[in-house]
Amino acid sequence: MPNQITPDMVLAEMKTLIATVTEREPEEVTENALLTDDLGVDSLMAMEVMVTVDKKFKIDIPEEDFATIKTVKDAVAMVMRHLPEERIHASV
Amino acid sequence: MKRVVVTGIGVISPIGSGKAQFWEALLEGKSGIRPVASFDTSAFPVHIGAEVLDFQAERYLRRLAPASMGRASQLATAAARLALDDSGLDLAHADRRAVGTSIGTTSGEPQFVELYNDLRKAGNVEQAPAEIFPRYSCSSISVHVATEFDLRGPCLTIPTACAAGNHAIGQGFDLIRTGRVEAVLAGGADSFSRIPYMGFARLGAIAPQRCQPFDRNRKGMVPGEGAGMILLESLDRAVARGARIYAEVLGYGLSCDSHHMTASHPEGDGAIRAMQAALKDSGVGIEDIDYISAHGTGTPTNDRVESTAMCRLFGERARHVPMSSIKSMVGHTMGAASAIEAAACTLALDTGWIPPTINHEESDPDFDLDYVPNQSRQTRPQVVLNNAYAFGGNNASVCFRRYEGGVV
Amino acid sequence: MAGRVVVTGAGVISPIAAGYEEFEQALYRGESGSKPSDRFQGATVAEVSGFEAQRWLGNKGIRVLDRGARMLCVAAQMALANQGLAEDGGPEVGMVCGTMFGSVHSIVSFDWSGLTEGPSYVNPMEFPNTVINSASGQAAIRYHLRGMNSSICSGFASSLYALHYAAECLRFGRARVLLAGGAEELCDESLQGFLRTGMMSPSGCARPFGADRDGTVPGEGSAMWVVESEESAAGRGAAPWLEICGFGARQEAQGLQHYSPRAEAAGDAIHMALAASSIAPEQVACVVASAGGSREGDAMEAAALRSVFGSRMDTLPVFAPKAALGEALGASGAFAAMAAGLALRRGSLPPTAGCGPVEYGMRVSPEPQPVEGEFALVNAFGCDGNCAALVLRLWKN
Repeated sequence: MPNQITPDMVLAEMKTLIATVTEREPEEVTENALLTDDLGVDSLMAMEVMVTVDKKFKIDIPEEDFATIKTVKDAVAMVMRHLPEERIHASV
Repeated sequence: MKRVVVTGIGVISPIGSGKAQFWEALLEGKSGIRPVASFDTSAFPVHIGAEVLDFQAERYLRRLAPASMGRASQLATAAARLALDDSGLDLAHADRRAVGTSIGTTSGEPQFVELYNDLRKAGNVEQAPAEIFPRYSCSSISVHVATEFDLRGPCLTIPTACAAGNHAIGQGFDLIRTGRVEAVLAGGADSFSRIPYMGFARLGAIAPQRCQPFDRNRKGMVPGEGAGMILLESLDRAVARGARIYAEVLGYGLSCDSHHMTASHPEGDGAIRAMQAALKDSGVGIEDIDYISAHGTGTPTNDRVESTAMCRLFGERARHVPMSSIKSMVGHTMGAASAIEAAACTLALDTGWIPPTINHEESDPDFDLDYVPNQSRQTRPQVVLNNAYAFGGNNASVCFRRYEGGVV
Repeated sequence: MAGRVVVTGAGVISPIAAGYEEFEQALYRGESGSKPSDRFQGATVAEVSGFEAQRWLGNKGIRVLDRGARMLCVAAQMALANQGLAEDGGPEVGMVCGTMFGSVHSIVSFDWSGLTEGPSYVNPMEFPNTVINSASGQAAIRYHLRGMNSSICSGFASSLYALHYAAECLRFGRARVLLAGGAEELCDESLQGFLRTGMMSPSGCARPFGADRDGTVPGEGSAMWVVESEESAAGRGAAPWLEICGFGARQEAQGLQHYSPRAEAAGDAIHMALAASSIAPEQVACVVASAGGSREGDAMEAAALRSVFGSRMDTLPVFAPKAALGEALGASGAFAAMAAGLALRRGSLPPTAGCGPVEYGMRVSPEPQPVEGEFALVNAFGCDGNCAALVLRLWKN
């Protein structure tokens, strides 16, 4: 992961990750897709996504925050919110 | 079909070892849940567990050396020693080919996995002693117990996770019922390990401070360790030798949710079917059950599903059948849990007292059930159900009845 | 208790073939699964080479299944196919699976990830695989098996016990139909176990009862039968070909790595199985042996067989499947039982792969041997003292 992260980078990572976990094609994982209802992410898969995201971006999203995520877009915003400022790309 | 009774009880648990100490602690509502001592939990978000403190295997082993086996085997063998001593069964003059061993476990001997990986991390995996490989297999737990007491009958370990104790008791029951053996040392054992602790912690399933089954504000389970062993015998043999009979095993039932590896079927379908199968196997109805030893881990989901299953199966009768979880005190001892709970069930039938669910401050408002909050009670139960639910949606219920003597 | 217990379906994934018909053909051609390993450099093993579960299971839902669970699912799926049970097993279809090490590789991996990356970075999806019976739980979800679900560990005797327990539960009416058998994955850890305990054949060749045998070849795979009561089979128009009769099990109580030269537990287990089947030794038409090339183990089995059958052993045909399949530990009993079933149906015992000069006068042969009779004896004897024997009968209405 490059040091200067943009939301687009996060979205791309998130799509690949969710696609892997739910065994779908990345194209099926759209920004506004509902994780549970549309993509079939269950509690265990959600946790896997959270752990992988934490590891990948070297952040620590508290579980209570993670539980509020409903769509792929929410997930991206949550990551951006938890990134330390110095790692966010200047353009953002 | 032979009738099967319980003639010996042995428990090594976080609240005490030996039948008397264990039972007294249960009735007093003593908790064995404390800060974890056996490994460093600073990297974890939680720090409590239910360990067996000051366990000295050499006090219980005479033939085998404690160092020749893993901790789960030590706990199992110790509990087996206690159960055999309690039963008064004279093995020296018994046909040991007619005595079997049936023990449940979740993790087998995880300490050997830990040792292997610790060495691997230090770059020294070739130093792993060769013995750890055969000792690791969970078959070794029942083999060690059989070897310590020279028991020559069928010998098996049943690794069905958190329902294993009940599975093992059930298989022991079948062996005697069909006349294939005359007695079985049956139960379960698990040792405290960072492996399940890590997993449960990662799932957010571990409570931060205490275990509060069925409480409105319950926050999770508490991993533990221990062993529970009961000696099962055919009734005619037990009577012939003048054995003290604690209770009768009437039957058991098994089912599988086939829903999710870590989450129960939300409506409790599998749990209901296991109970129904146990009742059918036992020849009793819901109207006969007057106490339930719950699985009651203290997680929001399990307890909700379990209460749901109770209400759906027992209907109007549900709130009149006390249901308590000793995991509130003993923690979740994994494969030992339903065996330790079986020991508690037989003592409840024998003494007339039922243990409480401690740490109960506010009942779950969605259910109107009697969880025996905080105080043990003298209810003189006659027929009890012991329930256990495991990963993989594996459900097992065993039914016990008070033994009054004579022919029923 | 209900009546007779019959076998109505089979599925197998093995080092010599995938699929029941293919397994039968390979077995009777005398093929051996021992070869240099794909996965473990320098080791000669009997592994399920090039195993790709997707071939049978598709791409969905297999990501979290470990190798053992994949093999079990493949065997289960094959067994369920054409049974009319595949869509919804229902509450009366369950599973009993024997295994010795279960998901040890997953357990070691999970612990390793926690140790090296920290406990907060373990993959929660891998946690369910850390219970030893995870494979049968996964199979139950995949195939909607809502009946009883049990796993049994009794060393090398595990899957023979599993077959017996399944039969008992059917007799007790605890299930209507069961998938029963065993599954064992050969992994780095179990391979090291073979190596470090001195069990492994340095020549890479398992020669059961062989005069120059030098150890076992590690194996793996899964073999599952569909078993049910005679009544259930008739009710759904399924055609049985085999009956599960009596079972015997004994423990030598000497420790984890001891084959008793007196062979008491092994001999007793055979006697128990015959008595439970209400048959005399003379009625056994063939023996499928547990022998896998261990000097002490094979000697023990020969002694046990002699003690039961006496001079009849001079003519009683014996097949040793571990010559072809290696030592599949918890799955070995199921492989052996499956071979016995084939032998009874064909009236011919498979050749013992690579069979050379044998000791103890055992009638093991590099050629198929005629089987005249309806009963087969299947042995599963382990160095941990667990000795089990099962009698199977050719099904006749």
